[in-house]
Amino acid sequence: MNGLAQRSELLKLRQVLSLQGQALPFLETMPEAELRRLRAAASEWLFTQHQLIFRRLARLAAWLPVWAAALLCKRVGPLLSARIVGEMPARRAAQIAVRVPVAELASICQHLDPRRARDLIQLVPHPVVVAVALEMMRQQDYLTMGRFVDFLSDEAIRAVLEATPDEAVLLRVALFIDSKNRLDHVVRLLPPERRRRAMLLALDQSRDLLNEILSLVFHVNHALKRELGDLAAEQDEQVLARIIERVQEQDLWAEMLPVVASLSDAAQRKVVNLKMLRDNPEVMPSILRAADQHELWRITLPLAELLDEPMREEFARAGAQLSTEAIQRVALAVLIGELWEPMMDLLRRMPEAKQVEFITVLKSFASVDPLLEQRVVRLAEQRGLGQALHLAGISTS
Amino acid sequence: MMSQEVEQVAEKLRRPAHALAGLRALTPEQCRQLDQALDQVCAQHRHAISDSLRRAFPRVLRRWLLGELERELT
Repeated sequence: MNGLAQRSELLKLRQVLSLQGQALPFLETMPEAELRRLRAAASEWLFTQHQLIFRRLARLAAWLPVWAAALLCKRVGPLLSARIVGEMPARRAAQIAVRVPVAELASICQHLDPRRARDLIQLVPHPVVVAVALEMMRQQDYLTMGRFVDFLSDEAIRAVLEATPDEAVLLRVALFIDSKNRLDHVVRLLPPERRRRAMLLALDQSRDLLNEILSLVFHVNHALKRELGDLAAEQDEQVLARIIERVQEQDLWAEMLPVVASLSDAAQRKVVNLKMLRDNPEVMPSILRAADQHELWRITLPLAELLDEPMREEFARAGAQLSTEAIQRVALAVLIGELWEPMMDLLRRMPEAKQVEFITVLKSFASVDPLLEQRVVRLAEQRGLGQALHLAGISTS
Repeated sequence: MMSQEVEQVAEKLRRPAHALAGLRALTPEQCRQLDQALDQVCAQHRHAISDSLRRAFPRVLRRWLLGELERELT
């Protein structure tokens, strides 16, 4: 379901497998969760290779004075250091870490599986964490930074956030944070003004941070979706059109629809009536396809009530192309979400044959409750659907 | 039903085959390519580690530190 999360997971797996260029293109079709499982398994497997050697070296490093162990890390290089550190008692490893030059620590982190070093990560003093984070930023190694966020304390993250004046960096790191709950929490650690500045980066075409911004908004919880989404919706129509264009290009509607549904009423009205949605004839069918494939009718249909007349026509035109199976799914959402009003309004704009098809299905859903059935028939009549009711064989008063 | 290739990858990664059920979507040839990629990255790491050890310690010291274990890396 999640295009952007799938892509960032793919990059993480490619890093673990040291894949170059477009090697193993079939991985691109695997769902995010499967890629994550494969990455965890491959990473674990690689870490357990030659484990006895690393244990023996770790025992040696633990026995050496701290300065000598730090020197040993420098001498054996980042890959071997990461393996040795993974086998050392965390407290000892933390004592050594503060003596290792920051650039080398950053390189060691690239090879370290943070899940195997969670105690060590907690024990490293915050100034060292900040220094390593700044070094990774200098190297633009946002992927490694993202992998470590889940394992840092709030205090350490606050210290890194304070030391990072550029919100663009935070957005780039956020793309690679494993746990979406953690992402939500980290965003809340940012002061509102900085959250605002991050969203305003959508205006900056030269930095092309739209994917990072979208990923952030897609993965935070409802309240933050609303806050961040409203901030984006405040921007002028050109910026919003760029966002919609990107969503359309990358087929991200399954993730975008919950964001639109979370917006305040005014922001929703502005977004759903964007001229760009009407001008591109491919957009509305894409939206409805995503709503159908990802069971999002219950949040998509209410948006129809906010549409202006031309957009409602566009929605109805795309709706008239739905298959019988899709109509069944729409009808279920209408029944559960009490969405008869927007449904009837859309129906009256559809060709008569499609009206009959919809009404037949809707009636079959409503007929379990005679009072509801009467209400639906009355509503259909009020909306000028008497002829369709007649053709569907439904008697009216 | 898991293909032989999927089971082979799962066995290599020391995971039950059902834990990597996503691999079922891959063709046998794709599974083999994945299997090879795992072998390659493992070999790369082994070489890198072996080189690091050679650079860091003279041969006698390596033998003293690792004994027979050093053979794993050759």
